[in-house]
Amino acid sequence: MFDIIILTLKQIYKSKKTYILGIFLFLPLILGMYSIKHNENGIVVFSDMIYILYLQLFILLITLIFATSLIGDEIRSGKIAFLTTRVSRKTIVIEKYVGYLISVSLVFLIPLITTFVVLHIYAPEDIPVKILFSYMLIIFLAIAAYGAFYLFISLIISRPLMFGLFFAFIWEIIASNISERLSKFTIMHYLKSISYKLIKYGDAQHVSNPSNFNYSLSILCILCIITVFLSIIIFKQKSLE
Amino acid sequence: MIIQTKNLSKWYGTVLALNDVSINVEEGITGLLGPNGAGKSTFLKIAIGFIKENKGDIKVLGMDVWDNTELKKRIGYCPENDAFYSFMTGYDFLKTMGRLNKIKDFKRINKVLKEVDLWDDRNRVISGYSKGMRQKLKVAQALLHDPDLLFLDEPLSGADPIARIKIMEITKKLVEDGKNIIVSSHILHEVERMADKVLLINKGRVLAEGKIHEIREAIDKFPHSVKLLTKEKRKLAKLLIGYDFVESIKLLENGIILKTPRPDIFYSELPKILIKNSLEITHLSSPDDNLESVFRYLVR
Repeated sequence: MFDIIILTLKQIYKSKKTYILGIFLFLPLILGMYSIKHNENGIVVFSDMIYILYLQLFILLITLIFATSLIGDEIRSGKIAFLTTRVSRKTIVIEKYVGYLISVSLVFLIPLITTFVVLHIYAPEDIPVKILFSYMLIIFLAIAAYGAFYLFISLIISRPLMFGLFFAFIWEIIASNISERLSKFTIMHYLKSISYKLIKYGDAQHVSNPSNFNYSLSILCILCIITVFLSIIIFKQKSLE
Repeated sequence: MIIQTKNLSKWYGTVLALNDVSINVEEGITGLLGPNGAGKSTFLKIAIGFIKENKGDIKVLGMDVWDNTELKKRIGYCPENDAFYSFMTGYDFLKTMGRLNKIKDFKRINKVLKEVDLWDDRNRVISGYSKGMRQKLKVAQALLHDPDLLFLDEPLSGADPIARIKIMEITKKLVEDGKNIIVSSHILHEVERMADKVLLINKGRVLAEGKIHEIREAIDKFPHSVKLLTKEKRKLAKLLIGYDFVESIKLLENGIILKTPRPDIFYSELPKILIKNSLEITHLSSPDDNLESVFRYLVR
């Protein structure tokens, strides 16, 4: 029970790319300190750094890298045979996804908390801890939604990274900004809508026509459930040549 | 019957990997022999439910193979490719695989590690293992849950002579213990030393099946080529040419190719010669064109 979750955690934390990408997650801390030093408001600085750099850049990139390699890399290397000859394919998909959720959330959590604590001490004004918890929730939802989607993509197309880059930086960024109607078909719109409700500072308040909080939360949860469910169905039928 | 197939076919685009294979594999150890690309691995991968056939049926231990958790408990698979969770130690790897097999008793892991002669290296990281050690580790993970049927895909490929002997000993012991084994190889004399029955596969078709000595008698009419890579090619050549089971030797840039009319004796004597003279070889293989001549003979 949970052995593939533990294996996935080990794989992610033993990987050099985790630490290399993790270093970039401290960028908001450095930029935040610089901005506060130049007399910008600490609360707005912390919120905007996380909103812009984490939500609209790092999450898109890091979830893409980890989620597409979650099962895809194991198939390509042939290591998946060690798993498929032992446990059901359904268990592999579910536990791999849960392992990804835990490990990637922790990858973000450590720099997020560090950034909050340092800027909280460094800024002249108190940064409310509610902002930190709100961003924890938003980041977790983003990791879950993008991860489930990329996992699904990695099982149906042969070059998921290329597709993922297009999806993340063309569709998600451009579509969510150029048209209100199109933005409803992006994951980013619902994440921004949740941010709009929870974060009352800076860029998080500049969302055009945000959706209702409960509706956005439901959409993201449904997306996760459907894409993981479809991943199970596809992987159960997939010939691993 | 441990495996039954009926009109089993598999193709990749326009390439036919298995062509209408209908066989019944009996209990015991059976060798799957054929050149690279003959369809051996495809057959094994279909049998373990890794890839799907395009046509036909297959039953393993009387069960359907596709994602069948009951069957997974009863089979072990040693893959041909050399991919590992290489950040793990040998012990960690087996512990992880054991947990997936629901093995709670770590004594079993210790026992298997000792059986494959990896006990002393159990705490070394897999990325530092030699090819032979990695082969033994692959065999070990397949044995962990004491399966009724073991699939070994080219288990001796790239292994040094000592590791080869060890793996052959293990398979022999498993058969004595009543286990069933399907072992694939593109080297006849490897299969011969492990299996008493053989299935000859070429270009996706089963060309012959039966007792290995009958097939071997036909094959022995052809001299057998062996490629050995070593840093001390001249010393090795000088040593081997003195034996009557070596017909000729050709020097390569980093090793030798020799021809032997008595491959059985050659393969049994080679490890002793290497150990006695402290010689190390980095690679041993039988060029495929040699086996091709066997197939030409068999199908003419």
